[in-house]
Amino acid sequence: MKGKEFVLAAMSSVMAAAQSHAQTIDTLKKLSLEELLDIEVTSVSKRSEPLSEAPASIVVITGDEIRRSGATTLPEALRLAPTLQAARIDSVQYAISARGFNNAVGNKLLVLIDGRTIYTPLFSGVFWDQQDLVLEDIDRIEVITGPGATLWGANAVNGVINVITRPATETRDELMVARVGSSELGAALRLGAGVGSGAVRFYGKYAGFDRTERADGSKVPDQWRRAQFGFRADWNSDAGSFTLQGDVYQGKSEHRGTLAGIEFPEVTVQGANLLGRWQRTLQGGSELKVQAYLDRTERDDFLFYTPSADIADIEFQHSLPGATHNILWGGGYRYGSDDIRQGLATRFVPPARTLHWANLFVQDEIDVLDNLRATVGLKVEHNDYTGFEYLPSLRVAWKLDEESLLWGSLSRAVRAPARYDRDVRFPGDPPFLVVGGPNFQSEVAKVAELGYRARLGQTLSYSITGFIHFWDKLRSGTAIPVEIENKIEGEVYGVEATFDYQPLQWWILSAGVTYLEEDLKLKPGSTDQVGVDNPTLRNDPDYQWTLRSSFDLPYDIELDLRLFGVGALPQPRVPSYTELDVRVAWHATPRVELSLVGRNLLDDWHVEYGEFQPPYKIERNVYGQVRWRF
Amino acid sequence: MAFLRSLRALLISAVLMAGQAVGAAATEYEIKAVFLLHFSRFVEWPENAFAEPDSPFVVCVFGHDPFGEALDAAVRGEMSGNRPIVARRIRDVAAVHECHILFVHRSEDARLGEILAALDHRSTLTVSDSVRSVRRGEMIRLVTDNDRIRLRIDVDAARSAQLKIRSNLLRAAEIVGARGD
Repeated sequence: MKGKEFVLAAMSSVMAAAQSHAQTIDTLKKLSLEELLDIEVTSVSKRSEPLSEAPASIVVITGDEIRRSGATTLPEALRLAPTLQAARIDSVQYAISARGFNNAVGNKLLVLIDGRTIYTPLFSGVFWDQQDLVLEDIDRIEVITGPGATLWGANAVNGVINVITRPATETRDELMVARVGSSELGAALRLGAGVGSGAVRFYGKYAGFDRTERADGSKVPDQWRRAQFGFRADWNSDAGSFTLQGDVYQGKSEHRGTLAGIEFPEVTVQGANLLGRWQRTLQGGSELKVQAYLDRTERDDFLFYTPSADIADIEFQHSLPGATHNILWGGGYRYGSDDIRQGLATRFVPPARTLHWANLFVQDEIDVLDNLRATVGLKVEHNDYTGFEYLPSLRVAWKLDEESLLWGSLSRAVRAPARYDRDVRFPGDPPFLVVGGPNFQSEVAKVAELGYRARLGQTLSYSITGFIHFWDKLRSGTAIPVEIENKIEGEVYGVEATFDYQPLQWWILSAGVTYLEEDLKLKPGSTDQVGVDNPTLRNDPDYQWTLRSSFDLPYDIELDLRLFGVGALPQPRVPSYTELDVRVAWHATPRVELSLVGRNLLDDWHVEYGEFQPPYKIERNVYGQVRWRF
Repeated sequence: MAFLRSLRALLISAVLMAGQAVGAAATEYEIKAVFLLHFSRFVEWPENAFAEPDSPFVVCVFGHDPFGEALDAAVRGEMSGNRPIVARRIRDVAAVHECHILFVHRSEDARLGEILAALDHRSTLTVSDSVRSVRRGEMIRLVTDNDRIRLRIDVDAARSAQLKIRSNLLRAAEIVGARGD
């Protein structure tokens, strides 16, 4: 039956490239009427795709969900994954994590934009105020919670976030977005066009964020402005499919005033990156993908530090499909060179350092039985601090029937040392109170997961994952002067659940809940004075929940509600909160969308992150937006 | 089946490894867009439905556009006889006259009656994907059943607009109206 062949063709082209409308349509156009009638519709509703058989905890945030959420920044869009913990720190800084260890550093999560790792080698976390893109160009964000180290390498311990933008072949039109609100404003322009066998788009974006207030009413000098430009080109030739993309950006805070005779100038950030990717199907049906990128980031923060870093990364993957074995192998090399001028608070010794990472991995996916599949893999990664790290995993998926899947996994993952662990000094000038540990080793997690995913009829699907992470060698300190070492151990365990329900064609409900328990302790011999309740290690709510409801109303009106709650943070204590976001949009014409968004509507303000005293208020805010495709 | 499964397995590895999509087959409106293209071939329009011998063949979407780029991709480079096929989005009922195929999304159900009245038996093939049980008078309804798209064709409505539906399309469809329902 041709229909099945189509599904096969579609699937293999997913391997080859992020599949565009045009490619799917071209395949569909070759089918006869009868064959077309036999094609399975995979997204009649938001999530009625075939039951995902991935043996992992995965949430996919679609571009449409981002649009309907009213999110205006990448961290806000990530809140749509019920499995992620996201806390807004100030106007533009966020703490984002999964399965605990949420702090401003967030170093146990790997984040990629179109295959480019956006964490800084400084602390193996993400500067969220330096990350931006035109949200309308995002195809989807895949959020995998749990270790992905066998494929993604060190730092993919608690999760992997993959932001995937649409190929330029899908953005051949012009788009303009303008927004103004009580605490932010922004505008974006994207121009797209077909060129030869491919397409290219260019964009420019500007955003401004109002300053935050503290609970006592005083102002935080964190007003922020940023501008970014970029492009993406995708094309096909006999040699395969190609992608070339790049961005350049600059961001700036307001002047932060003078304290005790010391002037605190603006925080400024800037950076640029360029990425190329080549994919092709080889004879015999195997797939080869090669990707390389350059990434430069600069940050000037008089208070903390002034780092600049250059990253060069190249990696390849080769997948060999077979009757019962599907082998994927690959490798990569990353070069990082940084130079960190000291700030008032920190200094790095040595100030400049060049680091190298190299890895090789292989994974085999084996059809053990008709309905039982096992995936075994190993990545060997080398870094300059700890030498070789071994990152194995075993995953098993048992398809109980067409509508339900039981899966389990065992894996080992590490968070490799960063400059922040080995080379940091606090404060910037002696006498130092904190000194990086020359013997700091990788933090190690051995993880077991068990998950169940099912679909009930056409309209309801759900997923439940239980996990336990056995941690060893977590970051700890000693008595003052503190030296950083690895003397915390313990278990982190919990449950993640997501539900999707579409009771009516025009009504979609989504819900998610996570529950987390952290049972950590200092190892014998540790002289750490703070203990395990250190906010630079963790300050996590033990539960959070979210409920979203999307209505397609008559007269081209969309109504979206998001009610969410986050449990209290223990130390420093931040009360639990419940908030509501509402978005009303009217498609005045097929190409013009007007929307009004209110966020955090239930209270004047609440606190999401508790490192500062008095705490920073996250306030109710409202904005109006026009989005015009022309 | 084994081959299908192994390819599916490949897909799952793609999900985990290359960071690709979880679901990868065609979406509802990609398929529906291609159906609209097929209709241009399996239905005969009278000559007087076109202003000039080389006037384009116009596929319209009324109001809410669920296709996005899928429809443009479907008609790009396609011809109906000597006529290039073009896609248009219209909002105004007054503009329905320029359409040879007019698609009305289910969210525009309420306006279907008004649209059909404006067409007044002109040779426009009306297509909807309404999910209401009551027929609204559109000629072809796209019905999603068991994850597949079915066609429900009102032959009488088409005939009164001087549209002739070829038998191969009728064979693939459920007939309603005088001959069925």
